[in-house]
Amino acid sequence: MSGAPWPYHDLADQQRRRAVQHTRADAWRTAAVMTCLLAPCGPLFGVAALWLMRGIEAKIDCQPESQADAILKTARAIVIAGTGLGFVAVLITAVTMANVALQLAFQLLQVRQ
Amino acid sequence: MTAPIRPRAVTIAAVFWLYMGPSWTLAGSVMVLACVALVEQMPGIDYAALDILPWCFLALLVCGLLGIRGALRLLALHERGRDNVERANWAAVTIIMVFTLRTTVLGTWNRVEPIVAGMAAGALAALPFLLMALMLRKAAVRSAIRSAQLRE
Repeated sequence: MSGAPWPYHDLADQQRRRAVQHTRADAWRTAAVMTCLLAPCGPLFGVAALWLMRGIEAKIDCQPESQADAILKTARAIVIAGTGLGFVAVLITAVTMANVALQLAFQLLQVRQ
Repeated sequence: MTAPIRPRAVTIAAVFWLYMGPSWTLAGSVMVLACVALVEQMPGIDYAALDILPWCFLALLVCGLLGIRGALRLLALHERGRDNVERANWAAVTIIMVFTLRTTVLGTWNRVEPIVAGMAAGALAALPFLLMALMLRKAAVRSAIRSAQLRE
């Protein structure tokens, strides 16, 4: 029997691909929640991604892989857009706040002198 | 249902730090620079006047960098990533509790009153990081990450 191919190779491969999809679903769902909580306008993107991913576990297990893949890709694009926008907003806020803080410090310095 | 390759709790911790890490690094670096600028620009103010604030911000910066590094490694299924994320969580608990203690029971600087409410708020803020660190220490989680790393 040593030369015979393993009959369940395709099934094992499919199981592995589904496990990968479950892991990706976990990651993007957490990213959607974090976007929702942290990014400005985050709830807009986070809720959309979470709504899109509702019932994804059942879809991964019971429906064709391409269908779950398409949902995950769209959710990923939404989360990345929300996170990117949030990051830009945070950078602008940090630069503005640093500028305001420095101007205040200089004004205080001038008042003291 | 098919089980995910990486345990769900570990994925959540890694993605959490992927978001918290950059925000802590950014906040820490901006505030450290602000402390330096303040001491340099304002006559009569030295680092002693700022008490533990510069150290807290510096620790925040280091903790954020450690968290980013650990999260990226953990998402790539590296066992070392688990160590980094666990250390980042313990560091976060330490920073929050030291800051809380300094501004409540030990503090003469900018003391928060009432003390019990201040301590409770600090403990509540540190709780998620403590739970994450304890979760990442579990033998089951360690072996799951190790076996996932070997499979990949």
